[in-house]
Amino acid sequence: MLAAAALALAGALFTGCAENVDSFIEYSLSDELYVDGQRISSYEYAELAADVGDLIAETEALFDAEAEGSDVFRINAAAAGEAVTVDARTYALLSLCKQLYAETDGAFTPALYDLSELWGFTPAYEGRYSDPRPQPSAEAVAEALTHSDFSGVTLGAGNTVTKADGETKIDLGGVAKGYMTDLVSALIEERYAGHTVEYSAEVMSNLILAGGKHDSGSVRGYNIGITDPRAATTGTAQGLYLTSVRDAAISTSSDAYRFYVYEGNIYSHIIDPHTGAPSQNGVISVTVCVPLSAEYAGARADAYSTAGFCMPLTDALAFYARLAEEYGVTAVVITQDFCYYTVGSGTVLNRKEYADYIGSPLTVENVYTFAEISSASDTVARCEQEEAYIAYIAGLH
Amino acid sequence: MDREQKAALVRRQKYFVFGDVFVFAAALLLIAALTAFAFLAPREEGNSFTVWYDGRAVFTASLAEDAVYVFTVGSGSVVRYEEGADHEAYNIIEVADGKVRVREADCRSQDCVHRGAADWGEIVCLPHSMRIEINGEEAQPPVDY
Repeated sequence: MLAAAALALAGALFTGCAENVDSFIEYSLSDELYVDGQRISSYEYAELAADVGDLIAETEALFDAEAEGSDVFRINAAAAGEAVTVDARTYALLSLCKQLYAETDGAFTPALYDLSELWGFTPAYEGRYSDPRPQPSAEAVAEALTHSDFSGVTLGAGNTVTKADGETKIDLGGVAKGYMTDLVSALIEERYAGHTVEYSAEVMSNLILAGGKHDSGSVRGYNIGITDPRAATTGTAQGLYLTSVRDAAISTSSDAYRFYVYEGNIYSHIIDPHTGAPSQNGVISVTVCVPLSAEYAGARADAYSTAGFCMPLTDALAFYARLAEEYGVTAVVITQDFCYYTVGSGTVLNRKEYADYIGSPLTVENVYTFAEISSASDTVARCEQEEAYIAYIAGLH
Repeated sequence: MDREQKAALVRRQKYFVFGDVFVFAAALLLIAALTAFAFLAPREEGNSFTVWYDGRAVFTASLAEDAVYVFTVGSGSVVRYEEGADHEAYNIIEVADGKVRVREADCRSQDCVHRGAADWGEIVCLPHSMRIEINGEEAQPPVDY
């Protein structure tokens, strides 16, 4: 008890950024916040961080499908044809979802609540990776799919939402955290309107970086580690790196978070809207970097990484090539044969390259192997390390 | 209160008032908590170590691989040691059974040698400004995020 108290106290004294772990949504706002090149005072930072915390809590309360009375809860409970009035922020996010739904040909859709439930991605199973779950019958999946049509959701005047099918249920999990980074960004930009602000914030693997990293008197691009989706067995925290990143939103979707192993297969929380089942295309991690020049860059990065994760590999790479052209997106796709593909103009480095790049004295080994886009195929075989990872996870209790 | 009153209070030793008990109690509790933390916190065995020289990390290797290295003062280099080779201003670092130790050194104090084999904490050689830090996690190059 005392040790815990001391640790908490030490944590409170030395934490460099505001973090919130009590709420379901974990977020952080770096205290390295610069206005016109001047770092803000810790007092000013504390005030801003408190407002950001309130904003996250408020929006979480709007988007949480499980919270009675939330906007999403009310939409889900509504009957066909019943108009539900929602908060302007919910309405703006749903409007953006409409746009992303069209842009991705339905690969991104927020209307998959029922299917997520059906496959057991409920809070009750959080962290229980090897528990067998009810395998839904093909009929149940087909039935849920008929109610998962986002085009049946209409957005009307006065922030109203109407469903054509009363059974359709919304889950904003694939876009809400990215959107929250956009809202954090808007709050900061508004507070310092007319000034150049540099800041960085993170909402559960969704990162927003405005400006560059102030490092011993100069400003450089950020070096971002892409979490190794197989860290449990490789022992390396970062599998790959994105370097010299400025003014961008970054999001990673991977099968190493909210997933389970059943009969030798990984079931991730990312549902393929075409099959109605957890995506199994051989893709294990997708990181997308969207320049802040794109409107709602955070929400876009979040939705794009989710959408590409569900696509067959070659489709995903073509999809990101299109986004690279349109918005300057950079994407990194890691597959279950431990290869990785990169699309776009951003710099992606492997572990050895990165250690060289920053002049680290560490001797590191690569985990993933660079592969040319032209060599990509939709059938991706698991490599030995992947089999070992699945066996390891299946053995956890 | 003016100077006179203050002086009177000090003379009567009234500066320690009842409320102060809580301040001291809190301070004692904090000391107890930190002490308990220092002794009770689980010590995780490391799986790599880093050699620091003159304030910079000059070498990192795994504790999983048994090996013998030699550190040399001046250049700050750490290379594989060839048995029998002659060195000056050196520390011979040996990794065995997941632990690291300084097997031999030509420093004055020999504190580093006496520290023995370790799988947590650090081994310091003050005369050579060399320090071996054992890392809880496999060492990684630093990132901003």
